[in-house]
Amino acid sequence: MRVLVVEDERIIAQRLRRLLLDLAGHEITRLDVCPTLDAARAQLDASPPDVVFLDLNLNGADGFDLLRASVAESFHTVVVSAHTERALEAFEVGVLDFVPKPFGADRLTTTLERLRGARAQHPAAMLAVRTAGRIDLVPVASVAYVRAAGSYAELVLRDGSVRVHAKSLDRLLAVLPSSFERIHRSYLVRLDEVVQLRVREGSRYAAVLASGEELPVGRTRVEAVRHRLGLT
Amino acid sequence: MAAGCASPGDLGASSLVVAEEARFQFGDDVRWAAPDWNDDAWPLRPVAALPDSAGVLWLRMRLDVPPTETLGLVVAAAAAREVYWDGVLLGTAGRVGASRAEEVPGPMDALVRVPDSLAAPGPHVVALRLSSFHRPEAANGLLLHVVAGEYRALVEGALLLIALPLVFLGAFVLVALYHGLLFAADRRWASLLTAALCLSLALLLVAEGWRLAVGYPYDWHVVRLRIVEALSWASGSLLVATLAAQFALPQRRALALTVAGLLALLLFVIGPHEVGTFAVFAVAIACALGIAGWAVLHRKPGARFVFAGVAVCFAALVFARLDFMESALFPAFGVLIAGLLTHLGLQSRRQHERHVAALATAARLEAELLKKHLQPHFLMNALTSILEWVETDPPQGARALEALSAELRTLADVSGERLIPMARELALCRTHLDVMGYRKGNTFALEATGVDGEALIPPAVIHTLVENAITHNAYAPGLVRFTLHEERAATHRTLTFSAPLASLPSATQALQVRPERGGLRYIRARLDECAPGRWTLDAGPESGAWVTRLHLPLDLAPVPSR
Repeated sequence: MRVLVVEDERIIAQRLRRLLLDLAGHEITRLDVCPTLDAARAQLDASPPDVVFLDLNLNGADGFDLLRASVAESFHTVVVSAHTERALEAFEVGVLDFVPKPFGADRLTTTLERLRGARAQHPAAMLAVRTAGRIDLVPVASVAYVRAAGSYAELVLRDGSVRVHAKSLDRLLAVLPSSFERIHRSYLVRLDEVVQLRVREGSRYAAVLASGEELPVGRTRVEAVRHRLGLT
Repeated sequence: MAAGCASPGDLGASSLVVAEEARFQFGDDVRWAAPDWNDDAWPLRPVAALPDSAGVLWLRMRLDVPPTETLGLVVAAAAAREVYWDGVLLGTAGRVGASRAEEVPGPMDALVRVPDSLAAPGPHVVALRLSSFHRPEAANGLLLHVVAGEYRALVEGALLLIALPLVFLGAFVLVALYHGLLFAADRRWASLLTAALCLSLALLLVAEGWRLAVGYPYDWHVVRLRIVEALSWASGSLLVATLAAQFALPQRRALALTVAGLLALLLFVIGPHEVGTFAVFAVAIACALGIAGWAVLHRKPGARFVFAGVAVCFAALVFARLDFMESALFPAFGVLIAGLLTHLGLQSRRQHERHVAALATAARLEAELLKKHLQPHFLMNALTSILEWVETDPPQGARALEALSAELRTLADVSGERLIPMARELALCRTHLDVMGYRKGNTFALEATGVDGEALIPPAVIHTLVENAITHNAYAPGLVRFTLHEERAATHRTLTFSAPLASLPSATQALQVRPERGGLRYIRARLDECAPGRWTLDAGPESGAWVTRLHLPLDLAPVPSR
């Protein structure tokens, strides 16, 4: 796991670094500390981390602009902030976790568990998408399914349009609401979009969406999907 | 007739008959009282043009009286006299004498009842035997006034003439009293002058009403006229002075004194009597109109009301002319004072609003200052750092905790103050630098040169500059030196705060351009509170440092001045 800590107060950065190495030293392959996200920019492009611990003064417009820029990236974002009253807003744009200051080892243990595969405490209501240098917020409610495209993901919206997100399917699933289910190596779907499961030749399965579109269902996931749809 | 002294006979004129002319004869003969005495050879003159010379004088006049229930006769004259009605002695006023020693002055005005047996409708002869040795030379004539008519109408007429002035008297005395008490509380010239103006008007009313309400011997008449003139001068001068003070006219003292001098000169040049007092009021009201007009043009609050009041006075002056003193003076001044009161009421409401606003500002600033340090970003970051030391370096944690406590304690102490000594402000800055030093891993120093520790400053002004410098500069670990320098001039002092500009590569470029955003608002609000419009603040980069210059007046007031 590659970790980047963005924190301008030396002692707090030192604390994050010390606690993370104590708790997950064997998993962390690299840990960098930068005072600002801008300062980390060059390094982010060269070798993107898996997670960024972002110190934000969310009491102002600038803090949320930085946050949107961060959650649009491929890595997970964990906000570390004193402004607990803004936590819900942070979750809504798709952060994996919100660590209130002051924090201790116990709180960071929870964060590490979420990083290892659990879902965010609160799902995102919007997904930040970087398009031509600009960051748009796409409402999660408008997404029908998500399709893998290399290391990126394509958000297929209910109106049929497609937006490209920098995160992988796994990372998106961690911040999406539980109504999204992985039905295939390359597909996440919103279950209430699925009208039926159809058996195809060669004992392959397909999920038929309200739009009439059919998506493949992975052989190993059929039972789980059937269960989630209430078909058993 | 003298200024303002209307006679009882002036009202209910339909049933009254006034003697317009009289025949006169010097000398003394009791037979001259008889109704059938042949006076054809006596000279006939209008009553206003009768001779005025020492010695005993007889006057005879004819009155054609209407039918009445009870006949009354009013005789007013500046002379001791005996009054004969158809040869019968009806009454005396004082004792007529052939010399000053023999004469005893009697009342100016007298109303007598004519016996019913002598009151038949038709022509009657009134004969007066008079002497006026006690009249000063300056007095203007006999001031004779003879009226016959319904007794009740004559009495009621006199009462009505007194009633209206009494209403105004009450009003003027009350307003004078109110402003006198106000002056005792606020010590403002405007209050004292308003009280004096109303008192002067009240006294003028008393002087005017004295003759009708109380009466006096005829030799006092001139004294009363002098008093009326003096009070007219005082009222006119005070009117101008009061308006000038109420509207804070520039050069108001010189103006008021000049006008007072001019009015005195007018009285002296034109002479006493009604023309003089009229001229005094005419000039004073014209000046007052000018001042009120100036106030309206300069958008002085409430000036419109005063202008309207003065304009009413001016209109009364123009329409009534020489009758102004007699018929219009007091009602017109009543309107003027009402306008002035409206203005003062508005002024007092505005002062109250300003006071409330000042209190609200003070409370808001205090809350803002405290909030700045209870806000999560400051407090929780500090606590996070301390938590780290508690786990890794407890002694360091203890020191940092002490520094944080010291800053919060100092802040709680000063936040309720509007001004604190510079020494406390510097102490507050240094506790903040300690806390930030621990957090940032720097050694921050604040060097103060030429700073007077006793001089006052609103709390946390320099503290805010220090705070901004640390927030908006990414200082490399090590010593960071801030400087504060004070210079004094005759009326103000200049505080120069200098913070080195520094940043890690490419970190906070944008922020350096405007490094004082939020805090500056706090500083401006604090300075506006204690020195509105009398301070300046400049900030900008100067050879590697961000320099803030604060110019403050030497006399910072802890409470906003009225």
